[in-house]
Amino acid sequence: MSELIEFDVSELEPPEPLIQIIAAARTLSAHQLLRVVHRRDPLPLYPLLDELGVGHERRLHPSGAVVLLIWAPSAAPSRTRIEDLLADAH
Amino acid sequence: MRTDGLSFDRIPPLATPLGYFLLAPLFGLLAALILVAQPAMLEQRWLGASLAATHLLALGFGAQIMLGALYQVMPVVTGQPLSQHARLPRLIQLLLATGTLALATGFMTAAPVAFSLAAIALPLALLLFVGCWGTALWRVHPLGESARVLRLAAVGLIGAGGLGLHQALYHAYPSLIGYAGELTDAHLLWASLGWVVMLVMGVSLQVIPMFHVTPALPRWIAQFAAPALLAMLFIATLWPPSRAVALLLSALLTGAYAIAALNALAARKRKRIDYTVRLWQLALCHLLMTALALGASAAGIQLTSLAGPVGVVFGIGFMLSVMLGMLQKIVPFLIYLHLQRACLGDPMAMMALPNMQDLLPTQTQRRQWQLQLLTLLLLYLSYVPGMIELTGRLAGVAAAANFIYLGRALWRARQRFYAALPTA
Repeated sequence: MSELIEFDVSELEPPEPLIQIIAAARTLSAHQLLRVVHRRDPLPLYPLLDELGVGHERRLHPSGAVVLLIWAPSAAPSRTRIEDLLADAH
Repeated sequence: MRTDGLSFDRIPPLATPLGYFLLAPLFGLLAALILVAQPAMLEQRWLGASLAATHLLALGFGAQIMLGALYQVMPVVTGQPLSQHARLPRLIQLLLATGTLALATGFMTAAPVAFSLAAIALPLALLLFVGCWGTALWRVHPLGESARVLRLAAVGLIGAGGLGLHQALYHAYPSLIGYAGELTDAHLLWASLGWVVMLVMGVSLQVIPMFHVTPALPRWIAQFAAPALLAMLFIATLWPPSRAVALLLSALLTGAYAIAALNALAARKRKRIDYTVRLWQLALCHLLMTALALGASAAGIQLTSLAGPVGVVFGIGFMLSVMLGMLQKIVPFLIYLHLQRACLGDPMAMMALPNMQDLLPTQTQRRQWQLQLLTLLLLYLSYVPGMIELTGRLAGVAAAANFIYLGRALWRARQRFYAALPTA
């Protein structure tokens, strides 16, 4: 199972969340998985992640929080693991 | 949930909003120079100079900033860009600028041809913009609170524009179109509450929590206050016997929004000095004052002599403060976003990127804040009996300095963007 790196950017002002997520996504290795908790849906981030070539998926929670998973190219985790990691907003 | 749909190819280049932002201060400067020349306009709503300056400020400055911001804010907060057509934003800007200058010239000279030109250019700009904006708003899914209120603001803009067109046509063809004083008041009401306040309400639901890490604004703003405000405008316009009650409720809704937004800002987690927060607070206090004046007027308290000060409270105290505050955050953020994208494939260039704070330095923001306070102070002093000739002119000079300083700050931010772009 890939190593999970987690951080919470909910209390950072823009563009700090973007900077931190891009920096972490850029250095992801094939056996690492990034899980980020944000207070809002960071729409400008997704095209940047696409251009980096990393995989990503997110879930919007009723509280407004967003959980985002990012993985290195060709290192997608299993569906079950994605669902498990997205289920909780903490 | 996948995040397909938004790509950088669909986000307009930085030059699109910056083009609007850089032109806007010139119109503000023209309005300020009119004040220097004719300070009496502060007391007389119907002077040609008053109407010219008001429209230079509302359309030339305010609408330019709002439209320019929407081009970039829409994709960032809703995921929907306004238009894929590269030349459309420039065409809309050209029509808006031409129409605004023609309208101001019409008010200053009473030349029907100037009103005719405005009555062509401004509706065209409005139709093109609302067409793009409406299409984007229609596509937003899921429809968040902010987009819900922005849809109402689009209706407000159409109402304000339609009523304004009627007035311009009256000035252009007075023998064909009869004057209707109540439509002038309705135009003012729709432009201020239906368009400006509604737009600020919709945008603030997103940008206040996003930029200032505050709690979310209350849900009743989008679910109840905004649609009720629009409904009150329809009632006040179409059903004159209920006008006073509708205006009183509009004042209550507007005031309640201002208090809710001030509360959210007071609960922000980071308490360090932030001039955007200060400008928001200044603006919302002025919105509260506007709501009090509107409520008092609707309740039958005679405020005829306060028409000038209320215009200053809303136009300069609220609208200009909001725009100055938003620009201090939006411009560096957008520049930074575009720089991130440009440097994505080049880690060295990414390391060399300037801090977002350096794109519009804190000292520049502080000066802008001080100039705005000075402008407002001098404007208010102008209403002290016997002071208008002196302080009115000085207020015009301060406002001119305010707009020149804004233009200079934006231009420098633009230069920093191009200087930081990696060479191919």
